[in-house]
Amino acid sequence: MDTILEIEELEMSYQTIKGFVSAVDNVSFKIMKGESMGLVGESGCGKTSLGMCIMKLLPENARIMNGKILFDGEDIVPKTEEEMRKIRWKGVSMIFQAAMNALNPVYRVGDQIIEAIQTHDNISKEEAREKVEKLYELVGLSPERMKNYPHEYSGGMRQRAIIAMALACDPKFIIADEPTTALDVIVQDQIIDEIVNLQKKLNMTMMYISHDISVIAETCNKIGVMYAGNIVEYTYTSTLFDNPLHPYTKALMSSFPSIEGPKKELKPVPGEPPNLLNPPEGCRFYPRCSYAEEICKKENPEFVEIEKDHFLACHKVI
Amino acid sequence: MEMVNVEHLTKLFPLRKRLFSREKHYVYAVDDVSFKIEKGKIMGLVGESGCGKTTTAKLLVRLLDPTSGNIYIKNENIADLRGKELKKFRKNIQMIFQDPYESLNPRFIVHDTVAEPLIAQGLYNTEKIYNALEVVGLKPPEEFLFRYSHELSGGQRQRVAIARALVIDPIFVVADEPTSMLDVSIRADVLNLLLALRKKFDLTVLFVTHDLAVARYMCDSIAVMYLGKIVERGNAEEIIKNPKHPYTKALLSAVPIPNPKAKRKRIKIGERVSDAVNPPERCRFYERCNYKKDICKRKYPKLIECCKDHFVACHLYG
Amino acid sequence: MKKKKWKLIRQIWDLIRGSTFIKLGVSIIIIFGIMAVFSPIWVNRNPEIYDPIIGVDPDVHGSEGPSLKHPLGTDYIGKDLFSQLLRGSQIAFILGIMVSVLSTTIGTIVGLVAGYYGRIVDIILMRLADIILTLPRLPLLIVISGIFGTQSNWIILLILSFTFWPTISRVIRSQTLSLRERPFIESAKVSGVGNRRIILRHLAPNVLPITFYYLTVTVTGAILVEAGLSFLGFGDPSNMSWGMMLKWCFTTGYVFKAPYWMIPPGLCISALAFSFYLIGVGLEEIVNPRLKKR
Repeated sequence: MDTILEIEELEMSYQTIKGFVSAVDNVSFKIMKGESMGLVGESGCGKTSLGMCIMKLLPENARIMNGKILFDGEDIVPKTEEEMRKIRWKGVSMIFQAAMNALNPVYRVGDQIIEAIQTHDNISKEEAREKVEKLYELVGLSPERMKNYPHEYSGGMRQRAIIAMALACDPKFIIADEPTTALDVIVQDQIIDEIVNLQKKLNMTMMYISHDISVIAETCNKIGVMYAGNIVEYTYTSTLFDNPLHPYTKALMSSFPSIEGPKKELKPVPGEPPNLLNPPEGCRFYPRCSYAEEICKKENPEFVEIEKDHFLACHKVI
Repeated sequence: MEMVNVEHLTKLFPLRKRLFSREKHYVYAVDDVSFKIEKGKIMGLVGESGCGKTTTAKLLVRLLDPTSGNIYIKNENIADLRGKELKKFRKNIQMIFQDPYESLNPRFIVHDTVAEPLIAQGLYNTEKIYNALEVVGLKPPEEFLFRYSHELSGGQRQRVAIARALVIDPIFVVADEPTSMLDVSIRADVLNLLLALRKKFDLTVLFVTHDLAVARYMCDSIAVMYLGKIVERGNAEEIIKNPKHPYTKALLSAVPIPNPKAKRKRIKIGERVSDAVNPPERCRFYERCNYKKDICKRKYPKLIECCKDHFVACHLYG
Repeated sequence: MKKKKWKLIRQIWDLIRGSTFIKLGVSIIIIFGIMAVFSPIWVNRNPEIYDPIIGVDPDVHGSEGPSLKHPLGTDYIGKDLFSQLLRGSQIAFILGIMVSVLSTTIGTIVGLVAGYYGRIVDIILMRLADIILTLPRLPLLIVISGIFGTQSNWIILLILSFTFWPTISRVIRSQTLSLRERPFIESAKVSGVGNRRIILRHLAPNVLPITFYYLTVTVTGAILVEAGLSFLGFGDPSNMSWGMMLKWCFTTGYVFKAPYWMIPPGLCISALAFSFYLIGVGLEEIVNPRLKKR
């Protein structure tokens, strides 16, 4: 299999009045063509920032300090905004979090997608319209809905339209950033189902960002667990659930209630996530870790492959 | 012993549809809802956004005045209490709100926030404040007393909100999605705290949530709401393992499971189309139901006991 | 509890220190404050000559330019202009600040009550505010001072306050409306906190920054309106204000002949109004976080 995305020692910081906040720190991983990778972590752990790095849609106060983002073998970090515009949508595309804000309320939804296609592909309006019709059918919307305005769509339909828009230029790689957070349980489930089916059908590579490990468990074949700017564990979903190694991964799994199986007592992770303005020395998880040792306070563990396709950053297990 | 007994609780919100329209339109936010909670038990009120669960919660703490119906707390009907009597009764019922960032006055220090219910009831006592903070795990209390809410983390804020609710020894607590804004690793902590406090003070709790897994973990019984009506209620495990109402079934089938090997069957239903504005006499779930019969169109099903302590409002049963 | 008060004072101090606008505004106000305090000292050296109302220098006939004895010169009958200017700053301060305190207090209370209680209370108070808001201020003042016969600074003060509060109450009301729905207010209600306490302890502190902003803006307005009234001859004749100085300069025909008479009061009016305006702008930067971000 070919590698489509390879990230090497990526480091990204936000400049604030109080100093630099390192939102993404020393992150390295690879995604193969056709894979779906889930990125799971708590709010503020840097998962959305990582997604934005790959799109290079960074706010003004954010800076990539170090590292490479190799997309299809090309490093996109030094690329200019002009060059990135060609890669976005056609190369990498994104399904955004807030569907309501991603659509302009005063234009018809169909027209908005047509316009998005025309700015990237040199095709006529008629061709674009036909393409949108096909996309609508693909994501389970009736093409007649194209002439409606965003407020005439329900929450689920809006999210489907956003997906259609993200797929408009046949991207090779798609990032879905919590695409279902604002939706109700049943609709959320349908959208997730739709995304999984589309990913398989179109043989796309996907990165799915979520705080909910159970959603990731059902959608992705690989999981990256992120904590305070670091990826602490990265492997196949089944491996991770059978044999979680990092203490944070373990803690995360036992802090989720489930409707399946016997009722288990939840084991919370003690303490709170660290302030990234001055993260703890050494391993960022050690203040909350029940296995912490002397070395964890001093050195940040390296992210290494401890068995085939199972990457981990923990002193204790290595 | 029944601590809370709600009978035929109804809340209509008038709606002005057109400027000069004389027709009166109402949103049936809560429509003929009845349930009981035993002393020391937790009842979960589950449903999608807009189903009326938060309105029910606000009616029970009398933030809203019910249109009709009775609310018996310890055999006293509080539905029509006014003025001084209501104020006096308020020390028995407290509420924990969804968003701890919003439910604490940003200009209050922790002491003021926790002391307020005591001052309002004329029971101010420093020892009680210290106790309340200790009980929710903010130790030592002196360290927190003079902090503003923006100087606290999310988990600490929700603890302050819980301390505030418990400081006047209420007998009934309404918790409106108390953990939905919290991070995964902190959520389990707060849930466990609530369970421990329930045990310690023999509290009766109404736990409002959209998350069935959380409801199963927290509650002794569960009531499922749909468009202002309770469609099913009963023992928590029974509802989760043996749901009767088609809506409950669909809802349960849409909950993702944190286990990649568990293959769940999705029940496909449509998105919600009707709202609770002047609803017709038929079953509210009619349009989305996969098992609809002729009678469902004509009559709203009564909530009947299908097996012991398991009530369902559906024409398929009874 | 002490710790909290100190903290608040320090926070306010930090905010003031951080804003160039506020620093500049406060500096100008301090200069005028010194002038107001200095007024009696200057006059008391020799009230017969220097009293701004009744004092006349017998050695001077007609308006004369600046000299050692009269730093700003004298008016058409030999009254000291410098002592008039000093007295004028007293009047401007007292009138401006009293009008703004009175009208923002009324405006804030009315806004809070209307916004919090809503329904009929809201409708009555806001319609009243609308009515007052649409009344033309200057003609009203002229008519009312005509009714009372004599014009006194007290009447001017009351009428100005009466016409200034509706603007403030409208803004405070809309702020209250959005605060009222916030969960911490609901939380207070559930705890059995009474309406009065909710308004005073929860709502008022949260609208206070806006009140402060209007406090400064209203001073500017009051100073300007008073100057205008005095210039038109509707001021308090038993006292001396900057507007009145301009009026005398104008009516006695010295406008183009005596710049030493006309320029200082004009400059003072602009400077004092501007200084309060600057503080207002500085406060707005603090109150409105969107402006602060820049």
